[in-house]
Amino acid sequence: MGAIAAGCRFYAGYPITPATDVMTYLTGRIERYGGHVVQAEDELSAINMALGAARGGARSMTATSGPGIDLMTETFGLIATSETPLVICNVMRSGPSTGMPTKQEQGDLNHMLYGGHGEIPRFVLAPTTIDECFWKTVEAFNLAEKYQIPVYLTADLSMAVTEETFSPDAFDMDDVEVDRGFVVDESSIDDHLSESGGFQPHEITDDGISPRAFPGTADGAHMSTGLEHDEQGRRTEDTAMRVSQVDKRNQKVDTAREREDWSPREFGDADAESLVITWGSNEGALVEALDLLADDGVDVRVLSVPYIFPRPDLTEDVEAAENVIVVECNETGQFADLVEHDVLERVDRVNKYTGVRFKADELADEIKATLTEEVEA
Amino acid sequence: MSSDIRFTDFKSDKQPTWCPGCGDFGTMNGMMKALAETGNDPDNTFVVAGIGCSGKIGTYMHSYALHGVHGRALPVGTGVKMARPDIEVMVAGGDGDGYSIGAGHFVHAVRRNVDMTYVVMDNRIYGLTKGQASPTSREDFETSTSPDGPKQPPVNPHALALASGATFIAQSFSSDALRHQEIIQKAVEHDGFGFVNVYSPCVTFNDVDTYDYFRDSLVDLKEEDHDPTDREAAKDVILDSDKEYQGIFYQNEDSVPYHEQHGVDEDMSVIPDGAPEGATDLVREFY
Repeated sequence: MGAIAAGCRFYAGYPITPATDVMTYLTGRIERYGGHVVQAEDELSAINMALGAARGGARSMTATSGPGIDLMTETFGLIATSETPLVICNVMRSGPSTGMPTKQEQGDLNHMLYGGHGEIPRFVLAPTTIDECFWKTVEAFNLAEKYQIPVYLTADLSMAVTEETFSPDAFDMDDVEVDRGFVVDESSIDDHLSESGGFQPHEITDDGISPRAFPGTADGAHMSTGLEHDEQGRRTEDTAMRVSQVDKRNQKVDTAREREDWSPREFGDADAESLVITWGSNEGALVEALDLLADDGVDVRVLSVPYIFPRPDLTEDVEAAENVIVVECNETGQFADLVEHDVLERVDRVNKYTGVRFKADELADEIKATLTEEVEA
Repeated sequence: MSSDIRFTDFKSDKQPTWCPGCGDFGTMNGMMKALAETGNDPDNTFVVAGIGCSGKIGTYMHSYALHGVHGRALPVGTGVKMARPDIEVMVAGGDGDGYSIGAGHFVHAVRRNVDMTYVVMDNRIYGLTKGQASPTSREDFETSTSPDGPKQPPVNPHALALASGATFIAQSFSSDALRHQEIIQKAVEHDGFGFVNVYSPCVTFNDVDTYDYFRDSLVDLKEEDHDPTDREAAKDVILDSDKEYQGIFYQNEDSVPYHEQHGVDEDMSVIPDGAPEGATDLVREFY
C-alpha cells in the first residue's frame, strides 16, 4: 500500500516465503494506478527488471527474502554505481541457506549493510511497526530518488504476518509526499551538458547528487554502466576521475546524513540508568515489556531504531547510561556490533582507491602526515 | 521523431577498442542503420548491453543505455520496455552472455514476447577473456579450457527459441552488411520479441569460424524458397545442422506483444506529487 501511495509503478519479483505477500498484494491493485507486476523467472531477473524500469524513469521495486537477497546481491553494485534509485524490500526469515523459511530472524543486517563486492553506498531502513511500514516505504522511494541510490527496506516474518488494528487516519493519503529529486527536462538540461554536448548523469557536484534525465528527454541520451565511468557515464580508468566518482557517490550518504532525520523512537523512562536499544519489529514486545519491568521496579529507557544506515549517533546515549542492552532476533548481535563500533574511539585511516596499490614512499608520507595532524590537533 | 536522423547520430565519440577486423563493427553498424531507418533517434532509444566484447557496444553507440551485469541484459530490457512502452529497446550481448550465464533469461524473454530486439553477437568463443570455449563452440574446437574440444554439442539458440514460443527468429552475418541491416530492421519492426543471432567473427581467438568460413558456407533462406510464416518449415531449417543459414527462420505475423496482452501502455515515469488519485480505496478495503 505504501508503494502504490508513493507512486511505485513497477514491481518484479519471484515467489519466496515470507515476501510473496508483497507481490500478491500488488497484483490486481497496482494496475488500477497505471502500474504492472511481473513474476520473473528468478531473483536475478526480478531485480534486473526492476532496475530497467527505474532506468526508464519509473518508481520501481522488488521484494524478496534470504536466499533471494543472495541472488539479488549480484546486481546491487550496478544499481549503486549506475546511481539508479531502487527500493529492495527484504522480508527476513531464519537463515542461513534455506534455514527455517516460516520462522522469525533478524539475521540479514550485515548482508544488507555489507553485501556485494567492492564498497557500495546504500541506505538501509527497518520500520519498527506495521503503520511505519507504510510511511517508511514512502520514505524509501523518496530517499532512493533524492539520492539516486539503492534502498533496502527491511521487515521480517513477524512483521509480515502480524495483524493490528489502526484508525484509517494512520494512512492519510493526503500526507503522502513525493520527491523525485534532481530530474531535468528539455528546458533545464542545457545546464548539465559537457563541452562536447553530452549529458552528464554523473556530474561532480558539491552534494554528490547529479542530474537525472529520463529516456525520451531531448539531448539526454547517455550511457550508464557498472564500470567506473566519467561524468557522462563513459568507461574510464583515469585515477583522478575514479577517485572523484567514488567520493561523489559516498558524498550522497554524507549529504543525506545532514539533510534527513535519522532519529530513533524513544519509549520508557527518559532518565533511567539502563538503556535498551532495538531495531525493527521488536519494538512492540519491548514497549509491552516496559510495563512488566515497571511492575518489578525496573525502569529502563528504550531507543527503537528504524534507520540502520545511515543511523542515529547513539554515542551520547550509550555513554550516559550505566547499562546498555541491545535486543535483536539473531545469535551474534549484529546491531549490537554496530552500536559498539559507533561509540569506539576513532582510529586514523589511510585509504587508497585509485586502482593502484600502495607504494612504500607514499605510505611513509601518508603516515607522517597523519601523525603530524595528530600532534597539531 | 525527426526524419533527418542518420545512422551516424547513433555513434558515440568513443573509439571502439574491439580488435581490428572484429565482426562486432559490422554488427553495430547494421544495428545503427536499422534504428535510423525505422525512424528512431538516440533520445527515444534504449540500448542494453551485457558483459564481454559485445557488451562494450553501449559505449560505442549514442543512445540511452545501460551496460549491465553479465547475462542479465534481457531482464533489464524487459523492465525498460514495461516502464516505457514509448521507447525503442534494443538488447545486445554475446553468445556467452546470452546462451550460457543468461540462458535462463533467454527462454523466458522469448516466452514473454516483449516488444524489443535482441541481437546476439555470436563469435563461438569467449574473446574478452582471451579464448575459452563458448556455448556455441563446435564440439571439437580446441581452446585453452578445452584442449581436445568441449565434447558437448553447441547450443542451438534458434531451436531453443522456437521451442519456447518465439515469434521472430533470424540469423545474419555481420560482414554481409546490407542483408544484416535488413534482417535487424525486420526484427525492430516486428511486434514482439525480435531475436537475431548474428555471426560476428572473432579474428583473434577463433581460427575456425572465420569470415571465409561463413562466406563459403552461408545459405540465404531468401533464396531457398523458405516460408518464414511456416513454423514446421522453420523447424526443419533450424534443426538442419549440416548448413549455416542467414535470413528469417520464423515470423509469427499474428504476434501480440506483451504490453498489448497485459494492457501495459502507460509511460510510468510520469507520477503525481502525492499519492495517486483513489489511493484511499486501498485503505477502505480494510473497513
